[in-house]
Amino acid sequence: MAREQPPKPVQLCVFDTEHDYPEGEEAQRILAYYPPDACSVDDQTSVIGLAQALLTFNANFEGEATCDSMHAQRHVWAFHRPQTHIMMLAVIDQGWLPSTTSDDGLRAVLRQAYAQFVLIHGPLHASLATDGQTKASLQTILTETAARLLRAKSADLLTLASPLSMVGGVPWLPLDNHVFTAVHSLASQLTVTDMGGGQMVQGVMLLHGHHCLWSSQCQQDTVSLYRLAATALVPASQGPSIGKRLATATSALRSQQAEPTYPVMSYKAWVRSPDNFLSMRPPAGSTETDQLLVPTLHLQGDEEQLALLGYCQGNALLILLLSQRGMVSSTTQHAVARLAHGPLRRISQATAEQLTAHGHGHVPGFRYLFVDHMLTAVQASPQSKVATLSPESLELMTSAQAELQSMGSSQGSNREVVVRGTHDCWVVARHRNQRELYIVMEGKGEVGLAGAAELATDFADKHFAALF
Amino acid sequence: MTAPAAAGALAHVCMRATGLDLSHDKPSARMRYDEGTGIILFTEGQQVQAYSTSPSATTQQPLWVASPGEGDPIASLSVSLDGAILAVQRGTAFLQFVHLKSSKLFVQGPKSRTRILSFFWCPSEGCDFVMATGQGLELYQRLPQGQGLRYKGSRKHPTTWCTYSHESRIVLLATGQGGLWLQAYQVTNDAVLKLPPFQLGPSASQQASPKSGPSQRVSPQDIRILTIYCRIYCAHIDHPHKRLVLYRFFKDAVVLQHTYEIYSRSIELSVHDNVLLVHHLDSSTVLLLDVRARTNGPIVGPLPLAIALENQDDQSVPASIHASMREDHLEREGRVEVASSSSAAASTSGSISTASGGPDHLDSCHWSFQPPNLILDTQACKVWRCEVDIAAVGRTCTDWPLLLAILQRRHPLLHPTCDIKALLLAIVKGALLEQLNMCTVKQIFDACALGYAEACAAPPSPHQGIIPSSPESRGRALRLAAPALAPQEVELKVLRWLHEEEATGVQYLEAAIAQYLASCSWQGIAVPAGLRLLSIDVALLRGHKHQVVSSLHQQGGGWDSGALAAHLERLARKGELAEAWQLALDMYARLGMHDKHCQMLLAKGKVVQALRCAQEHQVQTIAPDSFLVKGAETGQPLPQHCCRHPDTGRTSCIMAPTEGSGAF
Repeated sequence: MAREQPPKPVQLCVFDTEHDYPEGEEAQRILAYYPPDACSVDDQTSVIGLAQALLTFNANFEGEATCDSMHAQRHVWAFHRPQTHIMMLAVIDQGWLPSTTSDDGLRAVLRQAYAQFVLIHGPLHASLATDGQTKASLQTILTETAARLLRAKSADLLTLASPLSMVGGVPWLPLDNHVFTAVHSLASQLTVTDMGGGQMVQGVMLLHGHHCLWSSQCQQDTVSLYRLAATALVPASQGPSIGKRLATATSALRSQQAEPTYPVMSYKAWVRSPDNFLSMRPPAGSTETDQLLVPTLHLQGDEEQLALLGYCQGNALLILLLSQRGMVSSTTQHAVARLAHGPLRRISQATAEQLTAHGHGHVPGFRYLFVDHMLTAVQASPQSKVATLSPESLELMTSAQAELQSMGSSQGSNREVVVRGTHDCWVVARHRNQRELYIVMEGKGEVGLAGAAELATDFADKHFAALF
Repeated sequence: MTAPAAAGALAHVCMRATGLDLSHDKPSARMRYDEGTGIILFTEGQQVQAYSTSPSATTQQPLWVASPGEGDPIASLSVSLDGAILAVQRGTAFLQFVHLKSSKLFVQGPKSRTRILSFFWCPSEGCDFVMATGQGLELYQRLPQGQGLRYKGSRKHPTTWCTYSHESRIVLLATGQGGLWLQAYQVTNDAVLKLPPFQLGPSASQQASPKSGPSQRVSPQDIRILTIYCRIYCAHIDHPHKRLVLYRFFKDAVVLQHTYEIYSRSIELSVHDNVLLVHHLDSSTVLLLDVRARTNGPIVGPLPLAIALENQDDQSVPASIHASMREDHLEREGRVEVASSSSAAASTSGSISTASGGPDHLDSCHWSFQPPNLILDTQACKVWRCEVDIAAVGRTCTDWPLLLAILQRRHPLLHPTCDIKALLLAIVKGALLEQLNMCTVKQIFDACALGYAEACAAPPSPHQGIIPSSPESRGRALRLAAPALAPQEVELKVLRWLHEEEATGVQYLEAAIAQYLASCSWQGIAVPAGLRLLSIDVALLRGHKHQVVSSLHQQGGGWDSGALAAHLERLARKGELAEAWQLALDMYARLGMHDKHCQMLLAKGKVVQALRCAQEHQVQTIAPDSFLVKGAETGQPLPQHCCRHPDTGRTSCIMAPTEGSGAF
């Protein structure tokens, strides 16, 4: 008998709320569940059953079966309904979850997982009807999402826990005009050039590190694509560290087993070619070829299906959405490299210079987060600087954030919260016209309420002119 | 032998008669050109006659006639820059000076008592006249009454031969048997500057190669001093290597900058409008070079010289080219092809090449090339100017980016018959209509932007190199009404036109606009707001709404303009871009256009916000009752007291509702 494993602090599931299943067959409601093997089907159905009961109960008051989150004694339950009749649920151990995590953050994790699924497999309802592999794919997404949170020193968990970062936002980088025009020129040049054999570039996204510089896609696709790029392509483009490479080499020596196949949203599934192209790792045992294997993405609500090819220079990563799916020929690779090599390198250099000149967005004395809901854009202090804040300041920030959001739309479009902690720290939170600005100022306890508001106004005028 | 093509045949360079025609008067006179004063000197026996070459001088009367006495035949002549004194050389020991008004004579020999190699007048303060001897330069100043010269000093330098260019005031002294070691002096307004010595060869400033034998001998006929784009070059016609090498003078160095292939054994150089014309006399063709072109080849294929059309009659055609007029076109075109292959073949296929090649055959066809672009027909006693026909160049050049760059550098006043700007526009428009490869389009736009940036910029600063000090050169440096395309013109006459006519695909147009914006930004050129409007419209046509919104976000306030804000407001009203409403509001706020901001809020029914805005920024253009009317329409609770101040006309409210500003 297998030894009992400690229960996982993260449980994620997707279930169907449409059909009524007879008693004893409720397990059919479950489309995917993480952890898949650690808890029994009975445990799974009991979790789903409780969730279903909550939704039904809530429907008495709200008019529809919906629920955002629930705090139980030991767990936080977060719900997300990505489409009608489908519900996603996260059950997280409160003891494990950092106290500064917001419920909205947890729901954003679910939202993101679903968006990744749609990007890679198309909308769930269509996929369920046609593809027998859908449940397995959904399971893969949940497993990957949970694994990213449970990993040691998880960046995802850090983002989730930090009130000064936004899960699901795109960090658009404001660019100097000459860099911006160079980016625009490269992107548009790519879209009007035949890449050989009728291959056309239908869409372009450009990243520098984790900053987004350009996207020709609609807002929703941009968010999903950015997430895929940030989690898989950017780490793959930077290549494994020496330690990881050593470990891979030794483990490959030790076991002659075929490498496991990784999902598209895992950076391990991607490989950087000597010519700086990012493509899928070819399956073990496949013959050597100069063509590149690329995944297909479902964009514009499944209206467009395009192949995704990455190309990097320096810290810049160019994401091309190609019209012809399948393998990318060497002709296309040459065409892309000829067109993009020089400009991309210059863009990378110029952006790096700009970032350095502006201190990577750091403003001494301030820790800030700017959220533009109209654009799903975020702009924040570097996370290394946010990490220097005391836990009390983060707690204060979390409560100010909650307060600002709870004020809701009843107060009109302009809202503001100014709050001082017991430790000489002011937090100013402002909401204006679909935009939010949070500022944490430590060691400024002496300035008083008016002084703190004035400091915040000066900061906003300087860095976000006329927005607040 | 240079044989101009008949009128009507295609040619890039035409010869324009200056109006000076003395063919009936001076059959046996010796004809000379005085560069300093720009006059033609005829010597017949012991009489000297001077004629002006300026276009305004219509009469065929001499400016003056002088008889500098009896003696040996006149070897050389030079007129002082004020036209008062004529310096005459008959031997190598001394010079005669004649006062043209009083006919008084005086004589001056070099202080060093060595052979006189050359002499010239110059406008430097304290130095009017320079004699070059085997020991260097001797500087002299005219005495107050003009009755003699006062020795003012010397620049010692062993000299084999010497050449002087009045345009750049550069005197070049060659040393050694081969004349490979060169030393230049520049006579500026207040001093005689010594420039760094240099040597002809791959690395101008290094030591001589051991192979500098007799084959490397350089004669003054192989060296020209050229002024192109306010830069001074020493051109070396290197016959053994069949190339033309340009060394550029800087204050602290002389650098080999260009090497061009040549195809003939006899070469002459002219400069017109900063285009270097390389006359290949054997093959009767002219190569056009632009030292600022990105290629090291000629701008266009070589073609023969032609005669300018307006003077086309038998009278104006030089005697020496009558024969070539009768040639048929086929033969001429044959020569064009040959010209680029080999000089030997060219000379045999040539028309009337009775004179065998060689450095002295110019005498045989009586043409003398004078700087910058004069041709003296010494037999027919006529003076011609070579001019580049820029329209013809435009018709034959197939490299559009190169052509555009070259056209932009031309001076419009020197090409009165050609509308350079129209040509430029035609090139840009044509390239986009033909949907040329975006890389080519990028090159064209880069050239456009570079040209415009240069046209806007001041003349080059002195520290970049030595600049011609003569007033006429400086005049040329000033770029009056440069023919570069301004961003407004590219926007209105090309890009917007293409958009309105739907002459190209939207995608192609979007890429073209992006390229142009990048080119402008690369040169730091401010772009008109209309171009950004167009860029946004085209992106919206392609359905890239999010791209537009994110671009405006990324630009912060970089693109802000009243026009763009108004355009966004229009887009929002038409429902083409939902986010445009907020973007326009932001832009009005950043621009400080509070009345517009306020009006927009009011139009959107945000009465309270509009009122706050009006109060905060003292907006006076909106009538108070419009707030009340709008408030009543939308049913919003309004402040109790809203009135207009009787004196100031300012809208003010006693109590505006506070919007959720709280502290805890």
